[in-house]
Amino acid sequence: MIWQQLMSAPDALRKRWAFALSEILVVSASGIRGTTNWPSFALARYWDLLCEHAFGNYRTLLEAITLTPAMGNFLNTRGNQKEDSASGRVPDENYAREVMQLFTIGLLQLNIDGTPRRGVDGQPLESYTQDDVTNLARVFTGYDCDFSGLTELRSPTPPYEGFMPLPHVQRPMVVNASKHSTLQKRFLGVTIAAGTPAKESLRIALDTLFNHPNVGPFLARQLIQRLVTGSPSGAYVARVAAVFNHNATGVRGELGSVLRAILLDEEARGPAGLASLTFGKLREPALRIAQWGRTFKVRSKAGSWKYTVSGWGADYDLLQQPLNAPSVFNFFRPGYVPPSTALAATGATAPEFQLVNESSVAAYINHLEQILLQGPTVLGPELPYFPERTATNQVKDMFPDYSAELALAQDSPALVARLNLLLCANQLSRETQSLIVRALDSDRPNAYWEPQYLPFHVVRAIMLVMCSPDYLVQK
Amino acid sequence: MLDRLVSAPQVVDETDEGCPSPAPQPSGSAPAHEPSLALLAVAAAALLSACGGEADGNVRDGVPVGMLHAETATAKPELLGHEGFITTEGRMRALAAARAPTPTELMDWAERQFPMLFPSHQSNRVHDGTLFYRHYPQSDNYLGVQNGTVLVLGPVSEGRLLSVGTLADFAPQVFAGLLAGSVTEAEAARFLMHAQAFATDESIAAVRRLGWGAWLDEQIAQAPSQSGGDWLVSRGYSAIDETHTSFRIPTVSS
Repeated sequence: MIWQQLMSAPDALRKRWAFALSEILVVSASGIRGTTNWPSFALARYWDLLCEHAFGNYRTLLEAITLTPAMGNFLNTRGNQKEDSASGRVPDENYAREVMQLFTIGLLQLNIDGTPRRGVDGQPLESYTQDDVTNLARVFTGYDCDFSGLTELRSPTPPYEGFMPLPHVQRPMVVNASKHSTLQKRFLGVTIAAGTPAKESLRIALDTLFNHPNVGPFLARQLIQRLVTGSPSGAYVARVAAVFNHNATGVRGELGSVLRAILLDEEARGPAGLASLTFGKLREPALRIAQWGRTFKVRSKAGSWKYTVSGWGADYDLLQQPLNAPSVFNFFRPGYVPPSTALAATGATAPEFQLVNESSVAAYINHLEQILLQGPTVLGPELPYFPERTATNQVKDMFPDYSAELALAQDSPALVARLNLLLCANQLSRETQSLIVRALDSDRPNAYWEPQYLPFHVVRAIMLVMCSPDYLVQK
Repeated sequence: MLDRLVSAPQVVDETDEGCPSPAPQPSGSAPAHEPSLALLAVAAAALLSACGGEADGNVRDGVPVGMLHAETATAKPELLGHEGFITTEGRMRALAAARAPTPTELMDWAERQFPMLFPSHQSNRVHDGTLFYRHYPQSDNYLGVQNGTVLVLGPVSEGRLLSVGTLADFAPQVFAGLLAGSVTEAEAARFLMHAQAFATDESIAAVRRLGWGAWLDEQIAQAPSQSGGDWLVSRGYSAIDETHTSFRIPTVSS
């Protein structure tokens, strides 16, 4: 599903922005497997809400994702019950903690430029306490999937288990008042009186989080990191945060306005970043693959797009299957500083480098070597499930279109120039360009080459470009 | 004529061709990212109404007296249109710039936007360190900025000093104008890689044609395409039979 969306959907900007949001508002496929029926549909619904609200208001999105069965399964709001003094049971605190730590305000109080506020002792000020978590957790009690009007079905195959029809993983969760905590809820300076109905409690809680002054800089910095640069200036963060707080029409939390502010900022558009050693970011592995698919108009012959960039074994693993992060902390952390590097000396954050190690660097090259010529090998593209591997069901299905590049196969400088523009926005250094041209010219196609071998030469060029540091670090 | 009295050398245009044909009116509402046609219409209307008027002929220290009293200026914000035709791109650029344009930026922009009023580029003159102005001999109009207020004087104003807004008012248009039509192939590709993480021949051409802001407008206005859930259904994943088992809770190890 996700590769169909990222490689072929016509609304590419929306999908790419939704992907960025999915790396902040994380739900992981592996995290909901084993806990819900229809897991792919539950996750698809989650993804669809990110896409639907991608240019809308963050408050609306926050409530929508809070109530998805996907999130409910991932962070335990589904089935979360109120306290029980007899058994000593207390509400599960998972969602209350993560909605604050990761989705809205973060651990530390922030200035508008994203730097931590400090107390008189110089120490950063925390944004919430364990008591806030405990109280907020009461808000998220009593929820379960909406089964209304649905009748249990029976599996046609062993073990003939019962299961509920599809809509229950697509509808927003609903609250059972008898399982909702009626205790007073005090958090972040707000008190929800005892006995307040669940829906009203949720409104107050999410309003409180959404209106917290941290949200603008907290999200702005991370979203800038996803799109533009790993270590944005405080001024850049502040400008985007200001737009989050108050866009041109005076509305808070408008994500479309935030996206514009990020992309049209002088720090993103201006030439200064091109020459700066501290500007830019490592391209995410999954986005390199999506870029390859988009640039070369990859199409799935069967229409099934059954690509997975993980699960091929460590030699090929890109460590980043979209919507399947190892945990709620995403594939990498926004505050990651690569140790023992020049970046570490200045404390510059470079989140994507958390995926870089001796193994993954080689695995990426191996992966390209597997996919560039005829696309990835997939399992049973005609089948609506992933079959066991056999000798015959691993086939090619997602084919690139290199026709424009094939026309340049005998002209190495022109071929490299084209790839430099399309893949690197002309950011390959002169040295890198001439290095690649020399390599290509050492075995350049000539009149004696059989035409069917020309794609190999084009793939050599793409391989060399996509492995070069000038490509991997995007400015 | 005023231009003879101003100290700097001027080109005197004695011909009577100052009244152009009316610009075509935009039919229907113009798209938000195409302000030029509508602006042109406003400018043309202003110019037509001004034909036959004369600038204040009194000049002191090389400056028309009329320009020295910004406080007496008549407000006419619609003249250069700062209240209308502001693109979202312009708003965002202004927010991003977080400042008002300088007098030079404002006057350069006005020359580009209103070539009939302010024909051919002129350089700044300064009076008293507070009044920055330019004189356009071909139209005999003056354009100036004093203490952040944008002033217009000449045939276009029927000889009255007009205040058309503050520098800050014009920020959205000026900063958007700085970009229009100037995006290179590489800049377009770089923008696309920031925005959607890929570039193609087609999308590079589209960004260069529309500009960054208008391209974003178009993308953001585009309705979501087929949802992931609908796509799964279209691929048969919602079916329930011996081979279609997407309903099943997978074992965690698989």
